Amino acid sequence: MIVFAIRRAVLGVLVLVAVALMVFVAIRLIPGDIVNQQLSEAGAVTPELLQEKRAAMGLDKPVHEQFLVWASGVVSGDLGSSLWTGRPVSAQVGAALLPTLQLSIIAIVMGALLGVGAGVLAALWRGTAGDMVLRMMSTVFLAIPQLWLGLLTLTGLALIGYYIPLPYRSFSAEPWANFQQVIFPALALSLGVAAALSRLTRSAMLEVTGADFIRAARARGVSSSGLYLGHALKNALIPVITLLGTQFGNLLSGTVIIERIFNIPGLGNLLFEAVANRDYTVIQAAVLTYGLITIIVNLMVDLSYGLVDPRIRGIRS
Amino acid sequence: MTAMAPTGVSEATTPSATSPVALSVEGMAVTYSGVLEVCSDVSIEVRRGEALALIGESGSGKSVTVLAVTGLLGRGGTIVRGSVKLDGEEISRLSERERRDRKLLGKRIGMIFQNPSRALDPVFTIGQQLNEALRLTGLTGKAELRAKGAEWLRHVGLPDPEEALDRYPHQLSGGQRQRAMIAIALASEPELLIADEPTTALDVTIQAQVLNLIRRLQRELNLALVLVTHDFGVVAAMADRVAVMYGGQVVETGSVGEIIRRPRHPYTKALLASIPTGEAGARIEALSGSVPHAAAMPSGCRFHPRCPSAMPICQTKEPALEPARGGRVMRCLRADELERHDG
Repeated sequence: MIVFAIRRAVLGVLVLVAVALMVFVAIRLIPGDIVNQQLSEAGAVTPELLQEKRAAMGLDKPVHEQFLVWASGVVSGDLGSSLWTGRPVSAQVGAALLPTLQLSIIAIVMGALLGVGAGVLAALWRGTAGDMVLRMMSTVFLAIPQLWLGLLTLTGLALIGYYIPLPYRSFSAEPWANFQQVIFPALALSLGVAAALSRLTRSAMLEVTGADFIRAARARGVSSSGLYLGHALKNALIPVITLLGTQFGNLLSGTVIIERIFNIPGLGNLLFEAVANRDYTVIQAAVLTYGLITIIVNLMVDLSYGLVDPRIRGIRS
Repeated sequence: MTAMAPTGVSEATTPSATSPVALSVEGMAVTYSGVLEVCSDVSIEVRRGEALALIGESGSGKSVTVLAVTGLLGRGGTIVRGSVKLDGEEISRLSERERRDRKLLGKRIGMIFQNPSRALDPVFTIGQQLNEALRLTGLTGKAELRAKGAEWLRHVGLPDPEEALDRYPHQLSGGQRQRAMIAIALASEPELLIADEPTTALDVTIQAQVLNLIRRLQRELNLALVLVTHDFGVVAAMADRVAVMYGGQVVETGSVGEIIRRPRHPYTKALLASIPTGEAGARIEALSGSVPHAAAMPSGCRFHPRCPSAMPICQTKEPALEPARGGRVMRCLRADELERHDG
């Protein structure tokens, strides 16, 4: 198990390096660099002035040199400072990380509970009206983009006369206000996850309930709840966990736009503004953080297989 | 491991002819989705302490028969005609809930399945699955369950029973898994044990051990045993009486000695003739063709298209399961004729 974890950690670092390289090059390929952006409101812009500004930020050097300078900083724990404000990036990312983590964790837990619950019910009610309704709902929520679902939630709440309190408050400062601010965006994010999970859970449950060991368990008098929630669900969860991992990646990318819509000062909002301003160091740090979260989540998913499936535990130990 | 001398045909008499009838099935028919009649006329009887073998080719309806008795037919399967009585109590029309309420599942009828690798849940330990059966006997405490569980595993000859309780099925060998399965089936102390081809999925060397184990426990616990098999070797070693099935019907029943030494129904004869004798170069008489599908049963006697003794009347007239001469019950229009022919 430990060897497995170490191997995965090394792989994770390699992925992070690749992510860093890609984002570093990609943002420099976007037309209109930060200097253009900063001087767009100045009156007389001369080529000399542009050159001077670029040199001050080190942007005149070849890209690979710039990368090495930045990467060596990152390795030593220095993410650099914002090209606009000059504030250290690590502080900005650190402050933005908590709202994003809170939002995405609540969303994934809600999505998992709703999705697995709906999937189990649909499997139990196979062929009935309830099954049909659940399957139709999952198709609908699978088709709706999170962005639109977010806007819809906000508009819907306004229509019934409910307004989410503003500005954003952290959970430690004002739990109740924070709860109201987080629950709706989390719901908007979770429905897509729930839809995908419920379909898989349903088909996995149906497959498992046809297995011989379910018949054998029934033959030894195991109750219905023991059959479905014990034997069938535990076996059906194995593919569901895999999907949960990939769904978390989708959900994380969804937070960028959802945080924007619901005014949550998270990583997504930070990234959104940094891209608009071409604030290279902030973009790089934010994307790297997203990469890190994704890698950690996937590692956790891989480790959790062993909890459900003893056969995997045996291979890894 | 308890070594046991294999039980020969000569020993297999019916010592329990006076014991009470445990299971009695009469004229049972089973359909799937209301149309596909997979069992048409099954009548069997097992007494306490008696072992009945249900033999026939694949598709003859033996497995469906035992699943119908246990109430495990699955989606769409229903008993549409006939009766199934356990200790005189009619159970053929009960829902799953009623079966559970009357403790039919596990507590009164135990079942051993064909493939122990698939019949044990891979993500639960042997102990956890054993506990499900033990709880039916009213046992609750953790320590009590463990002690009793280990006792059962020792009883079925698993090495290190204490340790085996915490093992997952994939950590045991095929034979050990079937032993564990037997322990689970017996742990709830049923009166009727049903074994559906319990050794088909096992290595040949393990088969005899597992069969001896089942036979020993059946005698020790005075169980009524229904053993489904397609192997006359197993029948000879295990059973007191035999019911031969063909095309969803019982075609002949009798004691093991009678059936094996003097088979009378043409199908039973053909089955026995198709067993390899073990002599080098000896010809095996293969029965041509295969069991008809439930949706396309022949008219008249269901066996007539493959029967070497068929007469024109066999194509139109359906034979009934009737007592023939010599204490035999069989389904053949020419039963008496053939008996005379045999001498």
